[in-house]
Amino acid sequence: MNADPNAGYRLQLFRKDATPAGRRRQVFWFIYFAVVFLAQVWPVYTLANRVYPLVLGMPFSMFWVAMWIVLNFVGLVIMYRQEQRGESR
Amino acid sequence: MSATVVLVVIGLYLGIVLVAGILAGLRREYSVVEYVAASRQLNLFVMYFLMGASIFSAFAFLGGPGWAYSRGAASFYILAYCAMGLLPWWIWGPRAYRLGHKFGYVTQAELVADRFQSKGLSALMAVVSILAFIQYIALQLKGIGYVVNVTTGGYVPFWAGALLAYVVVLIYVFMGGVRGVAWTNVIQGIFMLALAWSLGLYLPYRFHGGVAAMFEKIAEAKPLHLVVGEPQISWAAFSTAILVSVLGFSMWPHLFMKAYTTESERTLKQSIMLYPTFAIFMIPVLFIGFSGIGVVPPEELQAADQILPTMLMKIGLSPLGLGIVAAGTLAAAMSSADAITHAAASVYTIDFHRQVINPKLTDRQAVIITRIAVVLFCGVAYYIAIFGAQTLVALLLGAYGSIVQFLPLVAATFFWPRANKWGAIAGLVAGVLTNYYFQLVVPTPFQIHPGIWGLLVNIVVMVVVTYLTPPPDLKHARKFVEESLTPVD
Repeated sequence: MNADPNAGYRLQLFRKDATPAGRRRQVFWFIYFAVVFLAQVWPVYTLANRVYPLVLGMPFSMFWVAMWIVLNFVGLVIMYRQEQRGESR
Repeated sequence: MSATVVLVVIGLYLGIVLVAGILAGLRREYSVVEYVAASRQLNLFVMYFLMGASIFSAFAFLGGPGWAYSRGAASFYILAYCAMGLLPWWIWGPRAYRLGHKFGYVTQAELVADRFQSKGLSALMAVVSILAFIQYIALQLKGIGYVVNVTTGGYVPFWAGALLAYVVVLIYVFMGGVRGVAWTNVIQGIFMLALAWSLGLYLPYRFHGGVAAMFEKIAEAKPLHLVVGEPQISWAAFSTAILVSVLGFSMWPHLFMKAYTTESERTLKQSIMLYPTFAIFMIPVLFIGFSGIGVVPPEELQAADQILPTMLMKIGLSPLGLGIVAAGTLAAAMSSADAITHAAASVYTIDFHRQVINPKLTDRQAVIITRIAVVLFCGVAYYIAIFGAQTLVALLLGAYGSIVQFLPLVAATFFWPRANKWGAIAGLVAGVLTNYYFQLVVPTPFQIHPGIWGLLVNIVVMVVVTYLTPPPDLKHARKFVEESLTPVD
């Protein structure tokens, strides 16, 4: 009885056959989107929370959110394409 | 006179949609969806505008500008929410899709209740979901009521406008949904997106001489209106509202129902990828609300949500144009209300009635019960939309925040085989009660969204109770982890 009888109950986040590179990629994207989120809430957002300079006619506070929407979208496109090429495992 | 034109346009639009739906139902082989499935490129195009039509619901088109007008920078929350709302679905969606295809689930609670082997859990989830769904339907009916009321110059009272929506939604659902009328939704999606940009850029130009000029004017008159923080919204409320929306959006039961029937994982991921572009389209929608500042005095509106139709009246849009906008908003609200109503009724029949009241339900009885549920839920939603019924509204608002309490259940299903029935039920009950407590009884501490407090309590209770009680059958629990990680296509 050297195998842990509770091993099967442990939290499992990745496929058993996931490659280390695949795992790293998943962790990378998790962090990427966490950054996207954190940039738009307290406290990071307070740094960008002002009216001037106006960018594209928008107050800076609004432009900041718009910029992160674009970065969010770009990240998703890259992640999607990576996955379609079968690199996600 | 102009009210008549508006009503004729609305009537024509509804007529076309109904006839198209009936025709498509009669001759299914000609339906757009099947035709389009042949070409993947076109398929993506159609899917994009179908999504657009359902996202640009009454909330987006009326609530968004309403917030920008009355609460300023607090409305940026809508942009962040719209952009990130579907991100977690990248984790849950494909897993739900795989398990749905393997085990033939129809609802979200079926999946979770199968994992935890509990009828009570199924019933509990059904009750929370239905309350949240009714709130959502009420919002749509209210939106249509406002639009029809304002665009007809007050000729059609609010209650009649909402009643019209109620009846149309019923007809839609009884016809078996809007499946066959994909093309009307596509046209409408394109129309709504075009409308968002043209109005969003035209209104600031017309009343303020441009977008930048408009914001300079607002900044001068109300310096705090364009920055997040008091008095519009506290930082804690703003941040946790985004957090709860991002975590909770992908817990809505109808998303799971959709995932089970999606044609491929690829389609599912494409829609997640494209979703943030709709947040870009929301930017000009917010401009519409900002453009009303200094133009429409707040006393002139019964509710801030009326700002968009009121601005349309201000620029003296022709009755024909007003009618088209009204029909468009009506269809936007309906295309979302239709799916939600159907989902709510199915959840009741499958997750509540069959589990708790009558396990031997025949298919025939199920259809009848689903239809009764549709009429009933829509009726309650109508009642709330018209009379506002304070206690009911509070109950439903709490339900809206309770949807996010499904998160630990779903996460445990896919990732944590040790979680058991008792932990799941105790966690959900504790989370929902905490959410209600801070929503209704006492003000929420530090202005943090009650849903977040609920979620914290939920997770702690679930973990503690799970470890205090015996583990579930290992093979059964592991099945959900393994199978959800194994693609089916």
